[in-house]
Formats: sequence, C-alpha cells, structure tokens
Amino acid sequence: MRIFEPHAHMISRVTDDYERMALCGVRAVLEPAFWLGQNRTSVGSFVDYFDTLVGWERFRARQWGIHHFCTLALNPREANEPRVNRDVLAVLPRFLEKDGVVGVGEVGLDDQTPVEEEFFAAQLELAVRHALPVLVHTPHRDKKRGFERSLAIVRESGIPLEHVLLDHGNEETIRITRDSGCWSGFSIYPHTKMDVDRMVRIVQQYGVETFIVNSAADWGVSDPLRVPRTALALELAGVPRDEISRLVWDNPAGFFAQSGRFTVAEIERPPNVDRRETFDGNSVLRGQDPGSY
Amino acid sequence: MADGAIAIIGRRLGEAVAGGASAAWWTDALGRVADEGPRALPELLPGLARRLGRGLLGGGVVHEPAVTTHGRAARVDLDTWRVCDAAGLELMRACDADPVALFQGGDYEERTIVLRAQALLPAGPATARLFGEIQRTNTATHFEALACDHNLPSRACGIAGFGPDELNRLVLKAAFLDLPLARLLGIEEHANAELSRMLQDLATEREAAGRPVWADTDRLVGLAPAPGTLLRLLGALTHGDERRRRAAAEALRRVPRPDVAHLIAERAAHERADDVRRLLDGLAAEWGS
Ligand SMILES: [Zn+2]
Repeated sequence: MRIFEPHAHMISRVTDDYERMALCGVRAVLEPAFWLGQNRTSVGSFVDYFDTLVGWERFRARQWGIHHFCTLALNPREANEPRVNRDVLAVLPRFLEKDGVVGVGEVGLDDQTPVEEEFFAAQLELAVRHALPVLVHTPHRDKKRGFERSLAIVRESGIPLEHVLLDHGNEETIRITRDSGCWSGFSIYPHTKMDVDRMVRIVQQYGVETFIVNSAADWGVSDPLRVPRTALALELAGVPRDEISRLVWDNPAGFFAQSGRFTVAEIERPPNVDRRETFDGNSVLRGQDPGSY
Repeated sequence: MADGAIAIIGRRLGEAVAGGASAAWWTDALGRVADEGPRALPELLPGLARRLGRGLLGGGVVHEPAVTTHGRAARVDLDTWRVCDAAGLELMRACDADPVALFQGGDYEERTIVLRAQALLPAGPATARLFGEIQRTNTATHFEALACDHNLPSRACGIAGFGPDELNRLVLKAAFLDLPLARLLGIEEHANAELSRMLQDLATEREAAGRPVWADTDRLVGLAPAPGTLLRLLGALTHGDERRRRAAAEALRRVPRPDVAHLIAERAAHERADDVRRLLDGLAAEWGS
C-alpha cells in the first residue's frame, strides 16, 4: 500500500529510518517546520533550518525513492521568543515560494498566549497571500478550548477552510473540526496524543472523510512507522483496503496538492534517483560504492 | 545588424510565456520589480522554474555587443539556456539586484539561474565573489552555470578579485570535473605556463591513481608549454586512444623542437590514423629541414 506520511520531523531521524519507511510503503513525506527541543537564539538558525528542509532533506529522502515536501513557519513555542519571532516572519515570504514548500506550518497555539495568537494570525495571512494550505498545531494542554480558539482565529483570517488541517486531534475534537469544514489530523504517537487502537475505533465510527493520520515522529520517543502500523491494524480490523488507502494516501496527497506545487499523479512515480549524485558535495553514502548498495 | 543575445533571449522568452498558464503571473512579476525594485526578487526567483518551465531556448552561440569587459564582448551558447534562466536574466536586468545575496539565499534552481545570468551582466566585484563561491562548491550544475557555455571567465579575467591565478584555478576545477574545454568559450587565449604545470600535475596524479586524465589536457598545455610538456606530448603520441594521439600531434605543432624531429618521424611510421600520420610527417619535415 502506498503511504503519504503527512507529518514527520525527518531532520531528527537517521537515514535508516528513510529506508525502513520506504520498505513499509512510504512514498512521500511532509516535514513541517517546528521547534527543535530548545529555543533558537537568532534568525540565522531558522534560515539554516529552512534551507535544510528545502535542500538537504529533500535530497536525502530521494535516495530512497521518497518525495519530500515541507511546510514552513514560525512555530507557536518560538512565537513567544522575542529574539527571533519578528525576524523569522520577515524571511518567510521568500521561503514560501521555494520548490518543495507546500504549506505554512506548524502554526497555531501552544501555551495559548496573546503573542502566539498574533503570529498565528499573521501567518494565516501569509498563507492566503501565497495560496498555500496551513498545518495547524493544536495545544496539548487545555486542548478543547485551544481548538475552539484556533478555529475562531482561522475563521477570522478568511482562508478557505478546506485549506486548513487541524493537527493532533482526538475523540474530543472530531465533531468540532468536521463541522467547521477543516481537515482533521491524528498523530499516532507513543504514550501521548493518539494510539493505533483508538484510531481504529475512530475510523470504524466516523469513516475516513477529511481525516489524515501521521506519526509526528521527531526527536522524542516516537516511531516513523506509526502510519504503516495503523494501516495494518485497520486492515486486520476489517476496514476495506480502499478506505485505508484514502486515509493514508489520497487524503494527505490531495490536501497538500491544493498548494498547486505538485500533482498527485506526479508523486505516484518515484523521484529521480542517481546514487552518485551529491548535494553540495555531500552524499548520504559514506565512501560506499553506490553500485554495490 | 543581427540581434544581440539579450534581444534574442527576450524574444524567445516572450514566445514561451505568451498564452501560457503563467502569462499573467509573469506580467505581474515584471510589475512588482518595476514598483519594488530588487526587494521583489527573493520572492520571484524561486517560482521561475516551476511556473515558466525548464524548456530549452536553443539558438547556438551568439554575441552580445552591449555587454563588454576589457574590450571582450559577451558570448553565450543559447542551447544551454532555459526559459526560467531567460526570465531570471530579465528580472535581474530590470533592477539593480545584488547577485551574491540572491545566490546565498537561493535554493538549487535559483542559484543556477542567478549564476547563468552573469554571462550577460556586467562583470564586477560580485562576479569575482561568485567565482569564489563556485570554486568551493561541488555542485557541478552551479559550476557549469557560471563557468561553461559562455565566455564570462575569459571576459572577466583581469577584473579586481578575478585575475589569471583565479582563472587558472577555475580551469583546473573544470578539468577536475571533466568538463570539455570547448564549453569554456575563449579560454584558449588565456593559456599560460603555470596553468600547464597545474594541468600536468593533475594528469600525473590521475595516472598514478589509475583514473582517466582530462581529455583536453594535451590541447591546452600545448598552447603554453611548461617543463615536462614536450615529454608528455611525445608520450601521448603512442596512446591507445586515437583522439589523444591526434590532440598531442596538434599540440606539438605549437612546440617547435627541431631536436626531436627524428623521434616524430620514427613515430609517424607506426601511426595507423591517416590524418595523424600526415600531421606527424609534416612536423618531421618542417623541423628536420
Ligand atoms: Zn510536529
């Protein structure tokens, strides 16, 4: 089964993860820009991070036949960081036009502060201007209220609601999101967020319409194979294969294809791979013979 | 008078964009540059390849008399220019943009576009700086965009920050990347003994490693012999590859050495390729008389 992983922070994963993902059917990855575990102290760190997401990470993914896309943004945690927040907003417009950038994200609320709201709204405006979909991170604390507040800010921005993916949803947020016309993302993440068994029950109860599942794999205790594992669990639970395929390929591919930066047909073929090719002189192979791999 | 390169590129670009899905976007982009100046470029360049495409312009090698450095007019091979490169040139010509900043902020495709456009822009401090950048990169596409299929390195040689030493290192890197000499338009006129020494050392190093030697080594060192050049060329006359023997015979014509006429005559007797043998016979007769 072909899988589009719509939320994985590959920058913090090893090259072997790409191979394991490819072996499990992952053919496209969306990497949203987020927090790196600690606050950055200058805009230069963001510029380098964004350059990595549009350059080196795409190159690395391609070596395993995986299309790599990203969404770029100032994340809600660092929206609270006065040393960087305004400068990051200023460099975003040029990055949002680059190849491989198919959305604005992760934006949204985390601690639900006024300054988070200000930068959330400003970046929704950017999304409208660049005609890009938006990936919204929703708070892990006080989630239901945060969801409602996020939706209010989204509505105020005037962005088409079908361009909005509200991520990290759970049983509590399904109804509000569906009724709004936005897409619902579920992060299947060990110990927190959503787990595989609950996801199976959600699909059995609600179907897959406007649902997207992701691993949200990052530098934490996480698992980049959570989407294939979910697909398998759904199959064992008797969910028809074409339903599962809609959930793990058609939905995420269709959502981000709204950017106009790629077509679903295009990514059904593998990206060009030349294992002798390097990126800035750097190969993912370390002195190995590309032919012998 | 025939059109210069810039006029041809502008016309081809217009034809490629007209009626296409991005025609309105392109008009808008030109308007933004007119209104905002160079500030608009970082948001416009990234979309050029995606929106206008990478189709080749075609048209062969053409001159641009309006862009001249040290009396040398710009020359470019339009067969290597794409629609997005043409658009990048047009945008950069429309305002006073800093190509170094555009290069540094650009992704893979933007960098290619910015570098290729330099072939038809005035050479100055930014050109020298960009030559420094591609000298350090290992992305062959970027090196080719600034160094190949036009005469920018040849034309710019002598500006501040890009003198004969820098040009020599650029040619050496082209040899290292195995790019044909014919793609470095006008480089032969800059041949010098120091460059010949560098190329010969690279060749020796490659031979020691059992790796192929840059095919144009003999041609270029023959234009400006250095110690060792004569021996290298004489040795190449027995190379198994006929093209290498032909290049060595042609190069020897520029290294007149009557004292080795008898060696040339001896080799000519064993040469299988008619044209190479005629060249060698000619040399032996000329030098021996
Ligand atoms: Zn995330």
